[in-house]
Amino acid sequence: MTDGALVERACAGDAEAFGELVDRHREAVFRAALAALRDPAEADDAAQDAFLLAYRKLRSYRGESSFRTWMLTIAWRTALRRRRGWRRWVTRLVLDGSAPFPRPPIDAGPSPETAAAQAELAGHVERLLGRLPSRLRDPLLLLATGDQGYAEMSALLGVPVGTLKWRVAEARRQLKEKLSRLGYADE
Amino acid sequence: MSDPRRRRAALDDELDAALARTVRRAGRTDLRARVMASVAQGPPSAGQPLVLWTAVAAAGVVAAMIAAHSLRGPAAPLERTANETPAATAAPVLPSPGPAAHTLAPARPARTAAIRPDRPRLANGNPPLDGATDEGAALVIDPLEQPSPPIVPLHTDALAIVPLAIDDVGSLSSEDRP
Repeated sequence: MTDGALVERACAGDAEAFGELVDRHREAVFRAALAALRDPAEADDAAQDAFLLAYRKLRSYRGESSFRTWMLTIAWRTALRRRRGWRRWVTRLVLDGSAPFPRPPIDAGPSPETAAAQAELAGHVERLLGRLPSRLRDPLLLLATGDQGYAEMSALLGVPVGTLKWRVAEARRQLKEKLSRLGYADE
Repeated sequence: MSDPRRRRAALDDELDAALARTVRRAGRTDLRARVMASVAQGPPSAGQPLVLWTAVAAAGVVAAMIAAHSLRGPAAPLERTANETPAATAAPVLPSPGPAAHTLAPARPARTAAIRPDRPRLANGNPPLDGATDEGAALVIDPLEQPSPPIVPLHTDALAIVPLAIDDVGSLSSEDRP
């Protein structure tokens, strides 16, 4: 069954149809929120808020874009509102920004040394990402989710594709330059 | 890995992997259950009372701010505004010299010192500006007296000009001057 058919059934009162839509898109919605918030717990809350908002506004979905794009747009805006919200500022003040970003366990791969090196690099990247301006960081992380290409990101962020490509390239350039200073290109 | 190009490529790969580890992650698997539980709780309008009360509270805060502002009264005239520079407000405010002040040249104290005691004076005790006495006779100008700046009165009423021009400025102490 297509997304459009599920939307029609959900609008007719079939809550389970909306549940199916949640299951189909929850990963992409969560990752978009994570790209904006960089905090899994907050991203999870934002994803839930986004689905609830989508359910309330479901009748306003005209089918002009795919349901996935519509849903990701809602998720992105919900995450941005949360990012700008006062609760996040208070949390940052209380935690002094020192709360470590919990990272998923790294595949051990060939050796424990490699895993340790990857974990260290991930820590550096996370820290450097926090210093990037959001106009560079957002498209870089959205692209890194693998859920959307430049055209979809352009619709999501309201920025031309060419500008997005430049911002992603500039974000990567800045990150690599700082990583090089940390010795990552000298091995 | 000594080739710089290969090192840069390796850094690219490492960066891609680190970015993917940052955002390509799975959320909690119970998201559907949580969303459906909220959906089942009620119609979409369930959240509106909170919005309404928030709006009412915000309006109350604004009204209180307006009331506090009106009770405080208008701002003092010498309060510094955002556009004023500290230098502009540091100068003391002098009493207004009146409408005739702009008719005189600025170097008034030097002229005051050059006035002789025996020089004819007007009825109010001040020397005339244009050579006229109370009787209308011409004033004899001492050729050895230092020339004073030209005076170009804009008003014909010299009696209104003189007291303010010479006495007020000349009586200012050094602390009064800006």
